[in-house]
Amino acid sequence: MLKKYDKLIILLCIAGFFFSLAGILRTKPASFIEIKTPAETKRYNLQDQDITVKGALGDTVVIVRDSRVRVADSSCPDKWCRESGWIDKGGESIICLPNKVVVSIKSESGQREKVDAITF
Amino acid sequence: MLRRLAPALVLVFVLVLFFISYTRRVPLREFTVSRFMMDTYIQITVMEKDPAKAAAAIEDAFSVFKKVEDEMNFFSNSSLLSRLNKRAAAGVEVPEDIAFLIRESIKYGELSGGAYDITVGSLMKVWPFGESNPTVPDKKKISGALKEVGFRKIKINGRTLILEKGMEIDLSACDKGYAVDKAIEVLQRHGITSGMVNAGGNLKTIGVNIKGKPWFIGVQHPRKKSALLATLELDGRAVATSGDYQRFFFQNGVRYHHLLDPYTGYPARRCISATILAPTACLADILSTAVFVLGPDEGMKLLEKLGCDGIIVTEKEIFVSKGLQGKIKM
Repeated sequence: MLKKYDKLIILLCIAGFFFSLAGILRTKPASFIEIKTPAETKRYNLQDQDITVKGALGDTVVIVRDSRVRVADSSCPDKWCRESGWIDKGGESIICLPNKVVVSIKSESGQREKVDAITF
Repeated sequence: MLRRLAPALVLVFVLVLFFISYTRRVPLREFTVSRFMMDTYIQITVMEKDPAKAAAAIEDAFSVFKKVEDEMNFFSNSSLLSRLNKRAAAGVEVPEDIAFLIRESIKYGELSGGAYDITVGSLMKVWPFGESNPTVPDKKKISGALKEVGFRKIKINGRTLILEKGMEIDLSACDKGYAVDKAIEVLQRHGITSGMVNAGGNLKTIGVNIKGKPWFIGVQHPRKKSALLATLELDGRAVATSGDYQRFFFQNGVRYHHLLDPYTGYPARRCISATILAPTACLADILSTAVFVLGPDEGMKLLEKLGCDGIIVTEKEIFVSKGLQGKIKM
């Protein structure tokens, strides 16, 4: 026969099960690379690879090594994007204004890490 | 047995219903749209439940940038400002938003002792920033362009503008901030209570971020490309930064950047970045240029006089205004 406190424990276990399930459904999603060009926005995984995309002036070459991302070459005149170096944190971006290419690291939920925006 | 368990089953049923409603409720979602406009990268973010309402608000906010770009782009021959500049020696009628920005610019030109000057356009055209293999212009070209610089020669009466022959108005140091303010107003008219308009780091926010907390902003480190100099919570004010790392080239190991000193015609050298917090994005935009040219001593005095805050960085030191001390993390 179930006693009053047994019932309470069963209820707490059931409640715990549902809230754990809700927690599992909200687990932290994986990060990915998003490259925006004048023609399209595409996602790539963070595995080692070389990606060439077409910008407004010509090609931009993006390389991924050890989950870090950088612009290796660009058709822009000032090459500032190439000089920006590696990015490896969610929310970081390399923006090439002349070639109109944006390389970002994002997470599935769209949530940023640390800061909401950067003033530069 | 079943009868005894009935209250427990009812409770479980209620919990299930609660769980379903918890997971299916319509949450406030974050919508962000980014576009290249006004020679920068513009991001507009709103928190909304209704995707259609968010999209309409963002689209209308972007139309502000389109209008300002069409009107004020100094480097486009087809912009309204370029066409007005060509005819201004004879006197022209300018739209109210351009007249407003000219009046504001004259006011802050005076307050900054000429460090902020909207007639530097002729100088900007001499310097080859953004071009392939740029080099420092010939001294004669710079001194020639300097003759056409001097905001005190601008005559504006109502909406009537008269410029000296050869002089041109360049609103590049305030138009993005102005557009940010107007875009925020548009979002608010659409009933958006939380959001951000960010025009290449010149930004203003309303409400709170998606986590329900104050907007948390990073300040770019002027010398470490992937690092932040500081972080701070925005208190409703706008923020803008001017830095010598934004547009520049090296010649003989010397950095030549786009923030020109209106008195010399050469890049200002008193600091390497200036981040300003001001009530409006337009003012933050103006002051970031003015303070960059003035440097830390005069720059801090100007900020104090205007009740604004800032972080001024030189090659050796970081200066933080009194209002920000203890409120930023370095």
